[in-house]
Amino acid sequence: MPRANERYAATMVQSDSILSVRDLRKTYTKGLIKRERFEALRGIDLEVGRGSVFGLLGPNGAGKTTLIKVLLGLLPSWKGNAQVFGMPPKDPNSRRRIGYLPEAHRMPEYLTGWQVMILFGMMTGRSKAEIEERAPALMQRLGIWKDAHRKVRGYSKGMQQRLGLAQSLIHNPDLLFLDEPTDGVDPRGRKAIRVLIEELRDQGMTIFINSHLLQEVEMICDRVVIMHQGQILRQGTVDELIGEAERVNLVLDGGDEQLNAALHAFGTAHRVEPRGISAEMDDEQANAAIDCIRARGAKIREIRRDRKTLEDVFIELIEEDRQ
Amino acid sequence: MNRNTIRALLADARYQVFDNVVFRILLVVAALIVALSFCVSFGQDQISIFFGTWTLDYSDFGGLVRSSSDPRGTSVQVVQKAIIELIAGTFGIMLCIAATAFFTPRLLEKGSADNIFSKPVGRFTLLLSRYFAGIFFVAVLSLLMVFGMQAGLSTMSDYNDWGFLWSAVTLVYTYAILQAFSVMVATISRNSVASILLTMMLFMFTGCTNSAWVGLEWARQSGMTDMIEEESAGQEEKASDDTSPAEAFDLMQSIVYVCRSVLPRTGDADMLARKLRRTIEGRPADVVIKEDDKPVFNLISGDTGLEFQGGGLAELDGAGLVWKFTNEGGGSIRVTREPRPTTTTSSGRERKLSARDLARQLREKVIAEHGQVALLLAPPDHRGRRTDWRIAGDSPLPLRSHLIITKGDYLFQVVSELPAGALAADRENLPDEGSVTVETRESEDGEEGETVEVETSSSVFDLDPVQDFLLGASFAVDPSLANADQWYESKFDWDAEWDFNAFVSIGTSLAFTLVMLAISFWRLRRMDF
Repeated sequence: MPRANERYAATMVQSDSILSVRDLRKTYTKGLIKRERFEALRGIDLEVGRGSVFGLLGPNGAGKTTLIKVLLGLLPSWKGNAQVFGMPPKDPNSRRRIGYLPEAHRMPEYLTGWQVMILFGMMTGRSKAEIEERAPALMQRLGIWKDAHRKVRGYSKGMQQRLGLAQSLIHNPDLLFLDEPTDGVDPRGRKAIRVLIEELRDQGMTIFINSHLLQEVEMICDRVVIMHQGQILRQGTVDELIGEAERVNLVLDGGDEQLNAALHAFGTAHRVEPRGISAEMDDEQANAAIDCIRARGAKIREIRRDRKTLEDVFIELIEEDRQ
Repeated sequence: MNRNTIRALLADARYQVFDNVVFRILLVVAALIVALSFCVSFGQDQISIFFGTWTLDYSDFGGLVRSSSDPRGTSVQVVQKAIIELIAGTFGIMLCIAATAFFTPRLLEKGSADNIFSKPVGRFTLLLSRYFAGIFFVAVLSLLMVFGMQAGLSTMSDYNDWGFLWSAVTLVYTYAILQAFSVMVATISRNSVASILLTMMLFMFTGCTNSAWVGLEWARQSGMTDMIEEESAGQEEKASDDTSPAEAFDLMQSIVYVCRSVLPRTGDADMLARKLRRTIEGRPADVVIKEDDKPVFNLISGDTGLEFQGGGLAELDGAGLVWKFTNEGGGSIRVTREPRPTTTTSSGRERKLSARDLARQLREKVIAEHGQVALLLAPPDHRGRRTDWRIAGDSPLPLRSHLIITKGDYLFQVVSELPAGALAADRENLPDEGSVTVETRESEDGEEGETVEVETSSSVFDLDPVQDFLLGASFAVDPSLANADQWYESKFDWDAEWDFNAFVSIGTSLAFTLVMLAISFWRLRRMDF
């Protein structure tokens, strides 16, 4: 683990990047006598720029939360190089500019929603007046304003989640880590959170989302990192990950083996089905395939374009890595 | 650290405490105790409950109160001691430990810790905020109870003992030591139950260790250990194969001594409160006469208008230690010690004369020499048996008062000589001369004492200076005759030797507290959330 700020300063690649990670490794040890070691992060490299929504994906135990915790200074010992705003993660000045919504968080039950906002806001060094000015709008925006003066112990799970999100934003951070932000929130609330995240991104905030809801990530995130077993399998924009090619489904009325064999000449990644063919092909290839079908006298019942989803890519990558 | 952050942490501690159910219950209990102190009035002669609805006479109580010349003060102090040392100092502290033990584990729980520790606040600062939340919990209750009781006693009973307010400080002091241990256990185990149980065990263990050390040390100094050693030496001769009782005793002593050196001295908190009270009262012993390093006469004089003429053990056993009144009228108080006279009973056995016998002898002698005894006084509050009277002979014979105290093999006499009219004060409603009352009372130590009163209409004297003198005096305070607690209390002081030194007691306890907090921080620094 690095010991001095100088080391960070010397190695910091200063650019528009607000978060930089190089060869980050973290090993957990368990047990007092029989020490069991578990490598949670195995050499992570990551660079995150300003004003983007970053999706962190991976199956359970992939190391997503560990990565976030290292960046938040919650894990004291690790190896490699990590900088947030050009500072080591344990530096309070870096954390002053970070908002964090942990997964399955618990707000102090002895506080009201309003008190949570005020106290947690003041803990980031902001003045009470500043927090009091900002809190009502934020709570109204997330639909918890009317319950602001109720004790947190009386909040539903969804309300607690929204309160958690509100407190993570109370000090107007530059970097926001959201661990399962829509967990326990109803569809309406999810949409409100999604819209809020988009607005925050437009305002220049960098947002890190760790979620199992891939559809949501696909909708919100500009860039995605897929992790597995402590390593990054792939990272890029959603389009880069999914790819340009679209899947074209041609459902035939009739057809035979010969036709199917002929259709293999068009496009890639075919899947021949009893009543048609599914293949990745561009418009030119699709037209040629249709001509081929028509030339052989077969009838086309349906032409359908399917885009590959993030979920497909995610599952494919994880399966590949497992094999 | 940022001022806003500190304000936030203090507010968080406040909210946490005020939301606590046990705190609210204890707050109600403390308020009830305070309310009671406003409903009970300790008067000079009786206790009035609910503004006179019920009254209790001091004579209805036990020997301690009944034999006291200041039954109101004695009663109030008994009540204060019961509430502060027993109810608040033992049960109250244990309840507070149980109620606050979860403060730290809850901070370290998954879900809560991630959130809090991701804030730009140092880990140790957050831990300290929980530590001080617990102290705030106890401080509010202690201050409410102690200051409230003081206000009640001051208002209703006109009893002002400002030293009592130190009790609030010593309660918080005791809890602060235990809270540090509780935080340490919580940081290591992250478990509330472990924290509660181990802290309570420590509280009880330190109390027992302190008592055991005091008991052993008292036995050693009073010669009891020599008896044990002699006895065990005899047994060793009989059975040399087994572990001798002396060896077992030595081992036990060593364990107790080590434990007392290492562990905090929570048991000294009450002692500290008493010492602090005495400091506030401004009544340190200003005359101490010792024999074989044991005090035989102590005086806490306060402002009695008396001036000590000097002297030591030789004067005590000779012409007497003398105090002169500083007023124009003069007068003096003389204290002497002599071997206690004995008499031979009809069965031929030798018996020490009691204070009653000696008082009777003196009375007969005075009457024979001077005629009628003019006035005899009720005895002032004092340990031991006494008979006290004042004689008023023909002018210009000074008025005299003799106080006879028997202690072990010794007879002490306090003789006050006051020139006629020097300290005169009119006392109304005195009966005609010649009435004689004989009353038997039980003194503080349970032995019978004798009071003889002969009242007269002649002018009497303001006895306050004499009574104040006697109230502050202790005769033959022999540690070996007292019990272990009294012995320890007599030894415990700000400038006493190492084992009895109040500063050492505070210092070792605070060192323990700091070590506990240091271990907590060491563990917290290495903790993954």
